[in-house]
Amino acid sequence: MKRSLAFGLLAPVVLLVTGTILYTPQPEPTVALPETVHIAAGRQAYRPPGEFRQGTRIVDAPVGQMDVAALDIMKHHVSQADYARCVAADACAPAPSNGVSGVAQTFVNHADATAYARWLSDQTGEVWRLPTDAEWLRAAAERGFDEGFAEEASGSDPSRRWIASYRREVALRGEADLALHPMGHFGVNALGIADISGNIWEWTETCFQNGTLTADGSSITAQSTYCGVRAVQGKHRAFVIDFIRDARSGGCAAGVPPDYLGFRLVRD
Amino acid sequence: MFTRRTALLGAALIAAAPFVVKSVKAEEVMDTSGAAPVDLSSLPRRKVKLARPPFVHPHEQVATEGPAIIEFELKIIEKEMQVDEDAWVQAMTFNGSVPGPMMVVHEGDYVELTLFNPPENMMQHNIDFHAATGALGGGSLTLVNPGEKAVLRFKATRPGVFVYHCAPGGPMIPWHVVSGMSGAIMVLPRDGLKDHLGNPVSYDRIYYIGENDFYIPRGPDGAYMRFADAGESYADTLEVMNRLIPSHVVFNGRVGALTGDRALEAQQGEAVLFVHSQANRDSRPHLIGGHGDLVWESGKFNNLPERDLETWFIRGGSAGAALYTFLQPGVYAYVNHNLIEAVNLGATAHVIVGGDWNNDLMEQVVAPSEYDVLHEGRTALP
Repeated sequence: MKRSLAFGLLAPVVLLVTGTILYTPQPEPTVALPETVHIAAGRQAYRPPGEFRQGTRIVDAPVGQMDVAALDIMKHHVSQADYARCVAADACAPAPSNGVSGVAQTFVNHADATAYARWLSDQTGEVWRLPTDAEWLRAAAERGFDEGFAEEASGSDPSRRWIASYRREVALRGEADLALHPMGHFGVNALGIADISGNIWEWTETCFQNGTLTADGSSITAQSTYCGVRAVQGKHRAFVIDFIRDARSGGCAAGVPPDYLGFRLVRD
Repeated sequence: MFTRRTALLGAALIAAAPFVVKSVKAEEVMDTSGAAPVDLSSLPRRKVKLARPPFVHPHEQVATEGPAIIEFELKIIEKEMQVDEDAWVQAMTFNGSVPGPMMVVHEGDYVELTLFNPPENMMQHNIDFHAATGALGGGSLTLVNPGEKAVLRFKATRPGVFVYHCAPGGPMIPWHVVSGMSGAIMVLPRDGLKDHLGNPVSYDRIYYIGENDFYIPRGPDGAYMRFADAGESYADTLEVMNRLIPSHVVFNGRVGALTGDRALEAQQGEAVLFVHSQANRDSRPHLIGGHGDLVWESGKFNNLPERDLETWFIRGGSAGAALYTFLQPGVYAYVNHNLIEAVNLGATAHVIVGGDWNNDLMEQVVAPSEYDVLHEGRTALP
């Protein structure tokens, strides 16, 4: 819709400027298909993210075993050059670029990432979308982090879990790394996926969730989601408000913020 | 020989020239050798090694002996320091840290400071103690060139926490201060701290939070500029300084210096004295989730402390002290409650407090959960 409107506006301008060139319908623009990594179908042990309670205590959600379909995910982050094509087509909001080739697009929010996915789907005739938190963890393989807390931190004292969570994020994240490295800088993981869990945290489709567990803690009885906040994944999982482009200043008073926000897509 | 150093000193003098005309008297370097001698030979001497902030050297809270001459040493180190992951400053420091180390003495003690300006430095420096009386706080007795040292002795006559800073004349004064050259000294009453009723109080831990405002210029590409040395950074930095909007406001010299694995620690039930100094600009410390039980907002212990404060004001060029006993475990944020400065510019520290949660003080009665919008929440509005 947006695209055809843009063409409608641009065409007369082209005619006016060039004068002699007549407008002829262009063949469908094409972009090179992004390089993807195929992950075979199988089973995944997955712990839903968010805040879960058992009685009055905040506890880890139980790990569920799910059958999961095969997954094709971009080997690399969406680059500044990739994203610039979407901006040029008037389908993506402008985002900062340092003009260096081979650098991932950062300073993007959830809407920017999904707009890019729509545009790429249009261009390729395939369906591209952000991964879910669970899909990202499959792709991250050995670089993903989905551990529960020790029993000590799931006890009745809420401060223990809070402190444990703070210390764990500090340990996982290490020093902030605010250099934009060339793509490939962080190497590939066991599945051949590049730069995952480097200094770019990646947007996922997954919304913030609240839930309560059964008395024995084995399953979830009630659950609600809030999609104004999405899970972003990297060295640790963070929940980020969907319109934030720089999470360093979007964190809360006593948390550990991601370095950069970027994304990669999966193909259905 | 025309060295970088002479070039820099020359540049500094030219820059200082218009100011010198009106303030040359005040900035005159002086000595005290002609004044009547004082005999302090009967006083004991103690040498104290300074600790790196936020820590403070071991000290007595209540003096068990009479006044003494307390000897400290400060070495001025000019070096590049990282302020944030993407920002560096050509820092000027006392003992290599920003802020400089905190000194603790008792009222009636004599502070005897040896100030070293090593030969590898480029600039003149000195020290102005707000706790001292006369000679621009010692500044006009301590102006040392690279390769020189000076020894200053002053009597600690007023109990309180006080700023010290470098003040080498003219436009060098603000520049040296916002390049990191400030610290604090605490002069304790000989019988220790007292509450609002005059009853003795003590602390289990003390942390020294030195707050700094930095003015780091950005280049044409928007990135923070990095310089080969302090002299090269002067002109661009001055331009940012004169607009009065800091690029960074930080505790302990850099963004994140007191968070993460460098977060401060305490235990439930412990009384912690937070000494906060800001040599150049106003600040408003606030402990999120806690209070100031007893706060010497202006930092001077002959005044009664205020009680139960939520936020306290540190005037630029002063230090204050807040005593708080942690009642609840968890992660606390100690911030400058200009929250833009706290969250976006860096002025945040974290305190990790271990202990047992007290539901009497606070309890989550209903955890976040969906409510029935048809029937609930209608009584909230007037």
